[in-house]
Amino acid sequence: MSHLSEEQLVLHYYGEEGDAAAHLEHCAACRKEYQDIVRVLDACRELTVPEPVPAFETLMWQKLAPELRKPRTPWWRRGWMLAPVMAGMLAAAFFVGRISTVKVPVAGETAQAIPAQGRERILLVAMGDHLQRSQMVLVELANAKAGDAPDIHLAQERARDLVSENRLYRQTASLSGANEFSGLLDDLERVLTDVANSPARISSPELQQIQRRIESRGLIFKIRVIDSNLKQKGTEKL
Amino acid sequence: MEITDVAAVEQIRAGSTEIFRVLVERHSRAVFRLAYRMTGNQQDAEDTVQETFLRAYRQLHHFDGRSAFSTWIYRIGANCAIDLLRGRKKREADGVDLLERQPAHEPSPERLTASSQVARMLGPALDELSETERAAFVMRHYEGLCIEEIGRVLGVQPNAAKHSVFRAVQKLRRALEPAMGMAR
Repeated sequence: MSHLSEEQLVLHYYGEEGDAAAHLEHCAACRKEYQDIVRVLDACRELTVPEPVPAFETLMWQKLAPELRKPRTPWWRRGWMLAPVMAGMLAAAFFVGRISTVKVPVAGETAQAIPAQGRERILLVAMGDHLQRSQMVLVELANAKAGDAPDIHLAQERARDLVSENRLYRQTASLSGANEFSGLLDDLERVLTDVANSPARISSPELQQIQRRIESRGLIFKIRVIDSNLKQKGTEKL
Repeated sequence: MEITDVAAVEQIRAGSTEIFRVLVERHSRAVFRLAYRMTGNQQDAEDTVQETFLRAYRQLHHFDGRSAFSTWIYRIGANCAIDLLRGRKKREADGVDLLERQPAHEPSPERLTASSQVARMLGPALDELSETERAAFVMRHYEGLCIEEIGRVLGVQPNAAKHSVFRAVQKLRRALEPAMGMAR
């Protein structure tokens, strides 16, 4: 008599293997195996989910509402957006080029090398500029006094602009396998999004939470290190 | 009378942004539960909820009403959580996150009392699953989605979804059975 596979037993546990029940009635070995699976899967139900913070839904709405109210200007009308978009496209082209380049020397390679260097230089400058502007926002927030409903609307406006740029750089870095960058940009994006979605006058606990996130991730320090590396690379490319 | 999800979506599309609040208040806890089980971390779960509703708002024109809004938002939530897990794994692979990542959260005294050795091992065991395995397992085991639905959420064939659930169970068995043996 052939036995039920582990897969069939797992599916039976979830009620998706109708034929297993009859077999289990007559087969002690499969019954034993099934009981082991049941014990493990039942134990997994002990994973409890904590209650979210009090007034969770209200808090979520407070974070989301400013983002939703932002007018969605068509991208072609956002002149200031074009610089990072162009830089992002160049970056993507550069990284894709780097990934797909065959390492066998071919005719015309020298001619292609100059534009590639130029593209990389533009990327480094644009990226450095983005990191510096992000750093200024983070420093401002890290030093803000958690008094009575601090006003962060200026930092918030800049954070909103930076979020979309950051997303572009992060996606490019991620696609190109530049994990050091993409990790930092991911952390940065989450803080920037938090700031952008906060009310202009946030409560002290909310500000302290943002400050803790900036501090716990060591974001300012990491940005300085990477920015400094970028500057060095940019100088080498000159 | 309480407004339905579909009616709320129609009003938001017509320009009543404020109505989106109804959907946030109605569905954010369910998304939080899913996100917490997938990320194992309260802060990450909250971030996931926020990103989920932001994406949902921006993609509201894609919601065609064929499935319930709860299913649709749930799908977006699962994908946001997967994105977050992928980002986290990448950072861990680079050694960036190892020291920074905070444990899920301190268990409450009640939770400590109630938790068994198996329960304590469950979090790390779930962390060992790939993001797709974890997502598939969470949706099947805790949320009760059928294999076909899981496939739709993950954008894979039902067979691939089934195998993800199965691989997750295999890994969990390997991780938990020794502790269960001790507990017997």
